[in-house]
Amino acid sequence: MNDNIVPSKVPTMKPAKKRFPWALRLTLLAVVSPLFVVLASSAWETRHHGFDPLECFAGLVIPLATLAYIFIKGHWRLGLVTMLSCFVLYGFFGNNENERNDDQVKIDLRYPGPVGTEVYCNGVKIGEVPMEIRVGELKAKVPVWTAPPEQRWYVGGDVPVYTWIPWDHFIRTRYDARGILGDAEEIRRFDARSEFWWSFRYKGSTAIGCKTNNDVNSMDFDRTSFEASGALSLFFPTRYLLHDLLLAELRADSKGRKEWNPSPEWIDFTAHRGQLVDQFFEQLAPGVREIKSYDPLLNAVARKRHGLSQPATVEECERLLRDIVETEKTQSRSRFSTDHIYVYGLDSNNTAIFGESYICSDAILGRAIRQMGDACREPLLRYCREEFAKDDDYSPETHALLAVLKEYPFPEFFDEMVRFYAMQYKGFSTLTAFDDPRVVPLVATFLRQAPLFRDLSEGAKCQALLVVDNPLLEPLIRDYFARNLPEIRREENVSDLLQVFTINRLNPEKTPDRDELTRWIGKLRVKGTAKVAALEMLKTPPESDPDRIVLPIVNEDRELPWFSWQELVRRVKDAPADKEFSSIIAELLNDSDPEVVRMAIFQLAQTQRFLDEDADTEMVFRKICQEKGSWLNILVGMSNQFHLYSMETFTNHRNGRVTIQRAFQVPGSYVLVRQDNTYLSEQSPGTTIHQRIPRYFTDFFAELEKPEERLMAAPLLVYVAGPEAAALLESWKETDHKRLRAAVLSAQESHAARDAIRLHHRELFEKLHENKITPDDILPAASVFVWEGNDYVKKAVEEATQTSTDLHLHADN
Amino acid sequence: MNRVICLLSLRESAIWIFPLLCFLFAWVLLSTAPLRYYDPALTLFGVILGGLLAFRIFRDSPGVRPFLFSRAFSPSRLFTVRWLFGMGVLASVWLVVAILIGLGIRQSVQTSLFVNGWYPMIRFMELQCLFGFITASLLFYQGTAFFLTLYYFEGRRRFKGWTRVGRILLTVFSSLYVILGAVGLGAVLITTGFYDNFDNTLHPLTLSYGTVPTLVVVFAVPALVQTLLVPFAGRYCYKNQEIES
Repeated sequence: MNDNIVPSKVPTMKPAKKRFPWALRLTLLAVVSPLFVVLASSAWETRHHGFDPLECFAGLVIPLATLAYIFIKGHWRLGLVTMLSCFVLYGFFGNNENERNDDQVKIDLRYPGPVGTEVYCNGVKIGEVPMEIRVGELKAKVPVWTAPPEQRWYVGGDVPVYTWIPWDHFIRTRYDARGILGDAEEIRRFDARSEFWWSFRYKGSTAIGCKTNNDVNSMDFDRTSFEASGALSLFFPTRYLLHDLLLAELRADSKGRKEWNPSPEWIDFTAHRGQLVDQFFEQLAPGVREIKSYDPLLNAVARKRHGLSQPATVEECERLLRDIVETEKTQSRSRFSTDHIYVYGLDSNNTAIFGESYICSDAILGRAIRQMGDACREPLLRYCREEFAKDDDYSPETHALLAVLKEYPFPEFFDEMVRFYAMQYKGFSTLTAFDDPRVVPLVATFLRQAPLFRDLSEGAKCQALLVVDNPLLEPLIRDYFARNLPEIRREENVSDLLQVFTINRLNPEKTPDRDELTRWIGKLRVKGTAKVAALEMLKTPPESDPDRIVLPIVNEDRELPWFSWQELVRRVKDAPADKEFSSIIAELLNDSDPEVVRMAIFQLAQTQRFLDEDADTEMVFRKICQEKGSWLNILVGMSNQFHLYSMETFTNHRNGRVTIQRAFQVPGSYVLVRQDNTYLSEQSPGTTIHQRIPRYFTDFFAELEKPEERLMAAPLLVYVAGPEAAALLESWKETDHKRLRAAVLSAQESHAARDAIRLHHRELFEKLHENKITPDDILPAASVFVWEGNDYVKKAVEEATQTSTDLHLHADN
Repeated sequence: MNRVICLLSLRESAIWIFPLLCFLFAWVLLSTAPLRYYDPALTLFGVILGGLLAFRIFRDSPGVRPFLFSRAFSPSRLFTVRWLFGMGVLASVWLVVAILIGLGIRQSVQTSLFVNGWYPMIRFMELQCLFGFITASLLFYQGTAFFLTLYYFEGRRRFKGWTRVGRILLTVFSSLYVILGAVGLGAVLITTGFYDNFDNTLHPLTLSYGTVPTLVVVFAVPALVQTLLVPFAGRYCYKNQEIES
């Protein structure tokens, strides 16, 4: 009975499938989502160089499918493993720059020249630096050139106006044959098949493209983008010519070396030529004395360029700061750099953290910043707060603002600066510039225990402290040096540190009491040699000291004698009328050796001091002239300075052939183009034939009786302006002394040539200023090179002039 | 009833959490470096605190679990009270850390013991370190609580055939990921010299504000969403899980 009840086959009991509700699924999604977000955002970042199928698959499609799978099926273990597999896949294959469609290849033109440089391709303007363009867009804009264009300058393929760099379709498609680029001959043939030729202009100056040989040979043509910076840098031949012209204009209107009276036109012209003239100022003032004398001039140019009045208003400061921030955002190269100081035992990456000291590479902008004054307080602090708060990754604008803030460490911003430093550990030199007593314990904390500092050696910490320029911190720094210098093992390091420490304190404004510093160095527990080197620096002013006149070594056993110009002026003023100049020098040097005194007077004459047209210089000069024979030293010194360039300059001018070799000093190589070049004079930086000798020299020249003395003075009269000099030369012409007569005739001729060159320069300058000509027009009529078969060949001169004009038109179109 | 559940959770977690909290508070008071938005050490404390707390609260030994589920209160109440207890502990820790920093106790300790020159300038700035700490502790508390609950909810299942092979493979893969990840991380740290080499890109001390939105999107938002969802998911799991007696 019971058997009937029991079924013959018991049905299998399947376990009940668990329900997986939406709440559970959503929670799973929330747990897994951070993984997905990281993957997806990495894949999204790659959109800038076009979507890669594999990246999209590993970074977006699979993770998305996994999320869907987890959500629908609830199998989270499999989902997680799949997601982690995507990470591995993405790590191996993601961000891989595969070969792409040519149209997607990006040409990167952010770096080749100054910002604002016009970019032409096949004669069509396609934009201004910085810019980027895709090849598809380029092809749509410009026609193809089937043959190489004529080149205005072409020296062995190194200095072309038109260049196939940064990109050419032919090179792109033939990348597998890139081996041929190792041979110069092949390069030229290679160039000839290019279809796209690039040229660049900046403020009316055509650039020549300089290929960096290494980069051309090693260029990887299978890339998704071409950076012009890697293979091409631009050079502007007109730059040095403009510099010479500006210097000529400046010298012509100046009095001596210290009083510059530039015309408003000069300031206006200089202020608006951008980077074409910026290096002019570096060449202009090689020494501290000169820099100081040019201060008002440079400040005037800076104010004009950046629209600042004197004193600057808040609105002007606001505008300048906005310009700085906006330009730093968009500009390819920052105008603010960090001067890295080597820190012992650390690699180059680390020096930026400790040895930072901000430098504005744009000298004019740097001066404009210093011209703002307290008016910049409100806008500067506002910009700092905005930028510090939204900073992405220590951006260029933050870098720039830190540099400005270092100039103006307003006390109320100290707390915020400390907080910024605590977040970023950037801006050490700015932070230490604040005049707040709390900075002292803060820096003491850095040295003792702050992150980044605590693992440094004592020497490295001393090195980091060298950038600090704050009187409040001076006791702390000295104390730290005194305690830790003896701990440094290498003697050279101790010596170097102590020397840099001393150099930074040679400025009398910073260290009014040198004796106290000397005593401090004397008490240091370091080796004598290190101390001696530093103490020597304190004894002798640095070479850049404007007051210093150093005598050459007379005796190996004696120290280098020197005396101060200011002290000499003072003693000459105080000396009785009948006291001889040599006696004053002897007292000044504390040495009555006639040889040393003679050397001192000769050395004084060798300086350019007597070109200054001021009362002190004239007084000293008159004192020298009281002593028979002494002032001949001055004449010899003057002659040495002027004869260097005068002979060649005037001869070339008479022949109508003045070389312009400076125009083609290309960075990295030195190319001379001498043929057919006639225009401006060739001068060493800082001097021109327009430099003048003060007029009071004429009085002394007039008293010369001996033909030998007149022979020495005649070439110098060329440089004395005014009718008196011409009349004196005329009066010296009537003589039996043949050499003197020849010298006077030559001087008269040079005097006339100098005036002619002066007029010519003035005419060029005025035309440039009125935009009647472009800087390109002051270049010599260059030869034109045309492509014939395998190489560029120079065209005949007559033909060349015509073609040169065509080339201009061609480029302009 | 709730009190009993809380006491049970306290008994389970206190012996682990108490030493950790001592370390944490001591570290907050004695660490001389400024505490920043994303502080690696504090975040690590948050990870350990959140994970450990959830693990100790939600993991039941085999004997305890049937006992708990046979009591008069409902399973969902059990989960809710446990979860709230954990959140309460976390919130208390956050509050204490905030008080130590915000009320100037850390500043006093730092200036008196270490003559730390950073203060008082950065006193309130340091409160921003709470972001990383809260996010990390929350994320790991919710994650651990959820996966433990899910583990009990799914129960012990038998796998046969291909599902068994798949299960083994998944386990092997997961283990490999963990091992290779650890080895890879170690290799990176060794080759880059870790703290000896101050590489700006790797060193956690150089942090920009630009990473803040990323941290918020990647960690803070999911942490918040989890906090909202885990109570519902957990209550469901507790209600529907099978308990083996």
